[in-house]
Amino acid sequence: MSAAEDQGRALLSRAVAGDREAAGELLSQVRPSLVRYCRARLGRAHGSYEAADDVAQEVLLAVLTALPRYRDEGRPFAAFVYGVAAHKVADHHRAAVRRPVPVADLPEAVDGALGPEDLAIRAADAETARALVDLLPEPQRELIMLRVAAGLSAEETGAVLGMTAGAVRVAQHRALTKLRALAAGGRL
Amino acid sequence: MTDLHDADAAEPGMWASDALLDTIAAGAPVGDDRMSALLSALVSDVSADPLRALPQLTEPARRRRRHRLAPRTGVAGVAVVALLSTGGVAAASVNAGPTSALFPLHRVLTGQPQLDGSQRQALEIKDRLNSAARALASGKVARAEKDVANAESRLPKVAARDGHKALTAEWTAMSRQVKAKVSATAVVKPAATVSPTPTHSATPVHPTSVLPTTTAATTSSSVPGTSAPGTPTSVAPAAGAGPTSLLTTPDPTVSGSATPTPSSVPSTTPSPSGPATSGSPTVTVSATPSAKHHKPGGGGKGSGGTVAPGSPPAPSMLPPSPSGPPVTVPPAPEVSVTVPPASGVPIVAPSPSVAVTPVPSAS
Repeated sequence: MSAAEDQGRALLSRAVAGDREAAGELLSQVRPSLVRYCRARLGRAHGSYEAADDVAQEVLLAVLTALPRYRDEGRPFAAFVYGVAAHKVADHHRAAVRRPVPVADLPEAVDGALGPEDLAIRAADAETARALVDLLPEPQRELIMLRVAAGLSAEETGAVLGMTAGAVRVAQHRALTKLRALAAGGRL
Repeated sequence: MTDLHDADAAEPGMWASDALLDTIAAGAPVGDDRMSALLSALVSDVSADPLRALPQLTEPARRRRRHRLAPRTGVAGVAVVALLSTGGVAAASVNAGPTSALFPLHRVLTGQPQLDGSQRQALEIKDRLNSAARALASGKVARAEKDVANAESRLPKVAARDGHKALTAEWTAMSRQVKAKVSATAVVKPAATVSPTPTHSATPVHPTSVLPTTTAATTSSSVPGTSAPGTPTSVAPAAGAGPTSLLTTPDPTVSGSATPTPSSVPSTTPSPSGPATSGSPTVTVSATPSAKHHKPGGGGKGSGGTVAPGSPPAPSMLPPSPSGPPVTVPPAPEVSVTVPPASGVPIVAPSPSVAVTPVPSAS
């Protein structure tokens, strides 16, 4: 077990024991990848990731609420977090109601990195990638999202999905091969 | 848990795919592969929007709220104190007496929980004077007099520090108002020649002494058949004689005892029985002083239609009736005339019990 893993477990133990500072730090570490995962799974709604970010926030709240009851069974904490996230995303899909998302301010900020055209192309490519991934079977779809969007390693993904790291690597390789074929075949 | 031990042998490009996914997840540039570009665009897209701020979990929300409210409360308190100080309200309320509007604030600031006897009397006087003012405004003069008298009895019990001087001045002013109202409101009883309780008899009377009489609308309504439509009538006041009548009888044989001045009549109530005329220069007020029954034909004895004060009732109030039992009119209320102090002209109050018989002065 590495030092980082030791620190992570110690942080998790403090958070479970009721240390709010430790809980805040733990959620801060999990949050970026969790948000990316939710955004990748849910996509934009009316041009915004507000809905996906709300789902990510709900996941964090659920995790924070469940922390006192968390029992370390040897699995990564990420497995617990993304297990909750998968359920929240599924709930959101079941709701399947695309409502206008109110925003507090008009989106007047200019993205200095990319122009409108580049942003549009990127958004379109992202939508195409999401559509391609949706063509995969459910285990492969979840695996790709965890690996790409959430940025989990093969081991972490395996812990979330209940697979070994080797099985994750085999499955992701097959999924990429299939995606490549779909993209080349112009299915979308 | 699925485990594929022979994954390396089964999938030759498995490690390459694993490395590609790690690269894409890290946001690093990838090759020209279309699928890799799409996944990179997906990662870039989901990472583009900034994250919203995460709430701090280390500080309880309750404590934060207390920190947020405390400065507001302090600022509000300082503002109130500054307002009271600069406005002079606090300073004025410290010296406020029991009759002042600031007295409640004075009690709060000085911590004075109970009123002494003088302060209670001062408050009571203030209440009485206010009550008197309200009574005057609503026309209740008697009530106002009573309140003023009550306030007067309490004035000596008020100490000088509780506003005795101001209360005395206020009482004096109110007392003057009440007295003025009392003097302006005069209850004038009918003169001796005017009877508040007429007694009408439907019995035929002597034709030489009883003339056709026109009664007022109120009387004729209570006694059907007592009016004589078409008879020339005149509604004229008895100038200088106090109350006047509305019941007139043009009788050339009756001598006049009052000379009306039509131009000075401020208001009259015309009789509905005929056109009003003012050509009769002399009128005689005739009425019955009591509600007694009169014998048929007894009223006109020696009177000639003129009724002196205190004389028996004149049956000429009613027109001749061929038959029928005597009709008794119930007593009418007392006639009250209020004379405005400034005009000097009497106001005619219609009353069913008053009758005026105009008599031509040619006699």
